[in-house]
Amino acid sequence: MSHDPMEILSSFMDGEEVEPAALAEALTVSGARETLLDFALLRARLRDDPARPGFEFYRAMEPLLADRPDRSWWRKLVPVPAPALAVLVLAGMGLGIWGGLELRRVERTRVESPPVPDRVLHFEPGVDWQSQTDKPS
Amino acid sequence: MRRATELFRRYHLQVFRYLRRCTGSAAEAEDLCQEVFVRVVKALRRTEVDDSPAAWVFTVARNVLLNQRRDAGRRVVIEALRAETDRASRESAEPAVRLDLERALRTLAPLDQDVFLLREVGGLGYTEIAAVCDLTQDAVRSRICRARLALRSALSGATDNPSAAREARP
Repeated sequence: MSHDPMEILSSFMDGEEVEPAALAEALTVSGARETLLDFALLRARLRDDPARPGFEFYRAMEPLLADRPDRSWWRKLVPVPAPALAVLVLAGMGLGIWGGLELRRVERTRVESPPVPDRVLHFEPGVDWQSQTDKPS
Repeated sequence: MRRATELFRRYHLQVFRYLRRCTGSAAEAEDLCQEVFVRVVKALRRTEVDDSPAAWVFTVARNVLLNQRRDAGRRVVIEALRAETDRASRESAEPAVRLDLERALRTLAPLDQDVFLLREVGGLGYTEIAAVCDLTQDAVRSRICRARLALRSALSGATDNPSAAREARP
């Protein structure tokens, strides 16, 4: 920490940490009040700056800052940690195995049950067919 | 790209004004400022910036400025000052006073000027300035104080008119 009174006043101006005792001592130095005021006036003068870039500057910056589609989508995969990747791969494998088992179960179920009929023929007794007892002798 | 836009929105005016004070030329500052944010956009495609974005942006700005100084030498500053002098004398309502501040800034050592303007125009703290300029915080503190005292001295001697002395002083 500096003990120079001017540096202490300068640091105080900038909101930097100063020891209260050192600040009190610096303020007792001859001309300290005028120095602090001059520092403040200098700052006000510098910050009173209306300068801005011209229209061409902003026009040139616009395409640079415009949103573009991310072509490097694959880069997003790179920082995925290895354990997370392993979990994803195992989950995928598990899904595949389960899917295969499920497919075989569906196929087995389909074989065991009778097929659905394509067409149904209706025969009325006495009209389309007659029993032995109904035949005339 | 949103991060780049956010950084541009937050810092481009401060960067521009810092570069304008350093170079003495608004046109030069625009070119350099554009270069700064081209580098910012490119860097953000490779890396994230979380800690102290202000210090990072101004580090890029100062590197661009140092490259420009190395390439062009102080000749550019002198020519820009001459151009600014002509423009200021034509346009400003208080040409003598405003010119003195710009001229006084030119009398500072380059590193003192950088450190001082990073504080007063860039708004950076001592820790950030130390990171940007690769200095210790004590060095930053003493350089800023030295710059203030030098400017105060230069500006108080800028006019012989006692009644205007207070106006001419910072």
